[in-house]
Amino acid sequence: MKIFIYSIFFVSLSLLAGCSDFMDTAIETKYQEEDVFVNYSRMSEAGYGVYATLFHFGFNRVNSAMLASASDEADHADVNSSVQHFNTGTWTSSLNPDDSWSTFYTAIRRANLFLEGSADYKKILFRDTTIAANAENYRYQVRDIEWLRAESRFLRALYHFELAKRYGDIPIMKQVINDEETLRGITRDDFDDCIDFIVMECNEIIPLLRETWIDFDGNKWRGRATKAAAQALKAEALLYAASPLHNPSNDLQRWSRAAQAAHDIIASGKFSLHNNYRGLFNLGNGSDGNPEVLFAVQRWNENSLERYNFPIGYDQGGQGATSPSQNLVDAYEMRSTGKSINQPGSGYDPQKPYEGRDPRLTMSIIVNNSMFKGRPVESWIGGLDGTDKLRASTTGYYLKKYINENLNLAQNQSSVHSWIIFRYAEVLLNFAEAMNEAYGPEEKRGMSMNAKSAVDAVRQRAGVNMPILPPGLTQIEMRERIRNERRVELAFEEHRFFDVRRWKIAELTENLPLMGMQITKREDDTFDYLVVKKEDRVFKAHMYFYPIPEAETLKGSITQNPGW
Amino acid sequence: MVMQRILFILVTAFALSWSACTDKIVFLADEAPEIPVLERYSAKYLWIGPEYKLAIDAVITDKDALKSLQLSVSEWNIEESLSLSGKEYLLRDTFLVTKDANRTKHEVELVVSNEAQGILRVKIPVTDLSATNQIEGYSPDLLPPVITVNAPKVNRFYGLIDAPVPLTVDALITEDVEMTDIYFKVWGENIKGDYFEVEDTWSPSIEEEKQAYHYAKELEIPGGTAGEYQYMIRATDKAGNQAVTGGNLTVGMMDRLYLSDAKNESEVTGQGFDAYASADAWGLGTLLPMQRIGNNLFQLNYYYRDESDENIRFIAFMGSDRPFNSSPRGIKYSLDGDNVLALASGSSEELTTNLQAAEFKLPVSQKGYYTITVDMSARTVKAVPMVVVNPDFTNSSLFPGFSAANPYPYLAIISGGNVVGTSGWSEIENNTSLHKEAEHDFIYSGDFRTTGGVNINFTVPKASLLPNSGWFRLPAGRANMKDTYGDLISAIKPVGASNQGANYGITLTGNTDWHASYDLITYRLRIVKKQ
Repeated sequence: MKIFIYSIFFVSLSLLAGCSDFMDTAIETKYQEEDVFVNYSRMSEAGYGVYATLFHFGFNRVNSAMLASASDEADHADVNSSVQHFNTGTWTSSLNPDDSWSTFYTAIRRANLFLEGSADYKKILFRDTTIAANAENYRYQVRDIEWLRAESRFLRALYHFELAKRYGDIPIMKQVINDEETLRGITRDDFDDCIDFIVMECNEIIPLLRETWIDFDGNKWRGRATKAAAQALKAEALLYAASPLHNPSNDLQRWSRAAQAAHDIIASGKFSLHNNYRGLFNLGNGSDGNPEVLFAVQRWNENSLERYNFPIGYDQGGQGATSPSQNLVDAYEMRSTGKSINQPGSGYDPQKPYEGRDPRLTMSIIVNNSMFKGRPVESWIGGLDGTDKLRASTTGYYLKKYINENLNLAQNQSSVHSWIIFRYAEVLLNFAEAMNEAYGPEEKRGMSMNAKSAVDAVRQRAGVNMPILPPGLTQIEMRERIRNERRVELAFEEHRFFDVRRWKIAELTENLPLMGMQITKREDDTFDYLVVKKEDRVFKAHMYFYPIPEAETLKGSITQNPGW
Repeated sequence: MVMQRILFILVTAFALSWSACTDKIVFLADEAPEIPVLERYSAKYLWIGPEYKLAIDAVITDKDALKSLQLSVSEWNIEESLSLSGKEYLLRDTFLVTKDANRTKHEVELVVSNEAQGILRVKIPVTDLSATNQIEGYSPDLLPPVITVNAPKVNRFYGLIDAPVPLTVDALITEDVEMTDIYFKVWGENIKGDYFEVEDTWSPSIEEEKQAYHYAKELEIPGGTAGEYQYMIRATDKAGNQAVTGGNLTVGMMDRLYLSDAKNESEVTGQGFDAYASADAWGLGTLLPMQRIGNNLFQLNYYYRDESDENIRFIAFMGSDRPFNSSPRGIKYSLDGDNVLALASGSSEELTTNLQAAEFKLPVSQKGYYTITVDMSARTVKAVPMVVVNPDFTNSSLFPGFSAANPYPYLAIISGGNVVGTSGWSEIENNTSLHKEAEHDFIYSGDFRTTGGVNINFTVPKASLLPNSGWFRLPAGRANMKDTYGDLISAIKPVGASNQGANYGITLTGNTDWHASYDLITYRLRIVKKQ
């Protein structure tokens, strides 16, 4: 496991260090390209290097901020962070806080370089089968390069998907192009063609990828892509292609394909929901051994997440970087009734706003007066963690998901934080959404589940045990329930930001102001809760897609997205 | 230093003389335009009848002429722009808004401009008066009826035998004002696609029943074939508020499936188990847990002897039901219960619960290793020959001196007290050993006797045994021994000896003669009382 991470580091830092954008024809390397594909060691390290871009996912996506802070999930306490440009509507083609164009095209170029350079791997690898040990070594290396080639194709497809869900139509780069003239002539391919490419690649590599890396070769390769990772990518890509942003005519066949792809994972019977929602995000590099995790980024010991997000009042350090919003807190239903807090008869008490809620609320968000590191959190004005403190949460809430509460920052303790890219709960919700749109809430159409039962399964996770959805919901009602379920279950996991875009509701959700909770402690030690506006947010119709970086549009045939 | 000072003086003098020669800088008098005036204002959050409204009342004036007004409350999605004229504007407007779930601070933001380019920007705090309805005596029925379901408490049914499954529905429905109707429905289909639906509508006529009604119904849902059903109870009050509750009902959807190869009931009651302290472990006897690999789909790798006395049955369990109590000392199943299936006579894959018409074999005609897959929805069993391979054979610390072509002649059973490494015990060859079966590769079997509680280990023959290698025992601490369903159990695997203490393997109690067989491919240890 560590060996794998170190390999990635080595390669990413020295062998194939990044170029500035995909138009570049050379990549700065320690070795020349012709020196890389000469033996197993260098060739395999070039393959592992394709993984390096995965470290961009997750915790520090935008200038130390999570992507959640660019959606209605959270505010970022640092007003100088570039992520604020998303919220103020001041991002442009030359100032995009999450400009991923060069990052992912560099990674795609790495993948293409590896795939082309290793095409003749059987000839390159040292072959001396006269000695048994060498023969075994050769077989091992052949198998490993074959797997790496499939994994590189998976990663190349994943990086294309990351680009397509941001920029819409993008150039599909299947090979290394060095010729300047050809590069200048490259145009953007349709979003649908990109999805077709991703799906076709996944279909081809699923048989070539390993089922698991656990209990293989001393467990040192854990974290590499598996069949399930490719299946999940395919299912999610098809879901995006079926969604309103990309499917304006609501072609039901698209939903049907997305449902089938998600069901392929469900029907395999290999995955299930972890029985500890809070613990699921603190599994470290063992997360790939969990039955819920389909693909996760292996990382290293670190404590920056805790340094950024521990409540401000703890003497071990911390600040309220990712400040969860009241908008998100309000989305958590009441556990006893399964109703949203603003429904009559829900059982919600505004003066005890965190009692009786969906347990995922306090597993994901630190709320006032909840226990954290041995004392109640004081989010009230004047409290140790109050919003009036410098660098404190701006909303009255602190991030809990992913946070390792046990770390002692004064002693600089650290732990591994694994970023889960695909997990089974998301697969179930992808399936539910696609089934509902294709066939309605309770139709099975030959599948083992229907939309309702898939959502119910997520809600009934051990330790969460939310009431199942009421039967007889209309398709529209089920759509709203599924969307809220995604918002709650997948909070802070880089889904909401893209979900509201693909559902084409961002003009509604992202133009609402971000709300926080102003808490006052009364003399009798009870609290007064008042919701207050923290900031207005701006989202305009052209922002459904990112702007193509200005530098790219000036080079040749890459056109700009409308409105930018 | 002196030169520097001189240079400084010269430069300063030059600068002063230069500035004296230039024109004067003239600052204009403050000509900022006058701004409009908000003379009186109020913004109120009101509850009026069934609706919530924002009411704004303000007088805006300007010395010369007003030009425009922008009004916004972003959290309520209110945004209005108006063109104005004249010196005074009376802003009096209401907006339909949503009810706040929490007490919320609202402000109305006004931006007013005049013809002189003056801009007034002001936030008017909203006074929350929503606690009291503005219509005196207005008492809306906002609450839906409350449905408390007393039955069904169990919503998952075995339904393995071909008979309807009785279902009892019992619910108390209460309403604070007046209930108008109650609707009950149960619906769904089995895996053959047979649709089933029962519905029932009731409208109360008696006054008491309009506030509280005890709904009870007995019905039957289809059994014999796996199916998934739902039920719902919906109550509606006079104001139109609805409450809906319900749940899923499954028939024949199993949580656990075991393969039993007990020859008879005596091998059920006399099956072996690890009896260490109170943490009894299962799985050393005649019941093998099948791994759940999908929805109602189970799988197991199994060696089939294809002998005349084969007695293969599949035993299903749901929910908290288990084949044993806390340990196999308390057996909770029999070979002819309603949860037992076997291969239908003459069929190549069909399973039946009619044991009178079953043949208790696998659908194959040769001995060997098979991957057995049981689909409890389709009620089928399939046996596919598996590749007979054990990667551990090449591990010399686990299997010293072993190869498929040169197998051990026997496995020694070592019992007694602490057994550490190769010391502390002596092998009594051909006394207590499992001998390789001539007809079945990789299977070792034999008899032994226990007197009281004894600890038992296997080793490879002493001739092959090396320090810390060639020992077979439970692979981990007993507290961690879980079967595919999380129950205490373990396969007996080669793990090498412990250097740290007793090399306990399994423990059997009682003064008993046992017959055991051990499979080096699947690591299955089968122990039963000798008959």
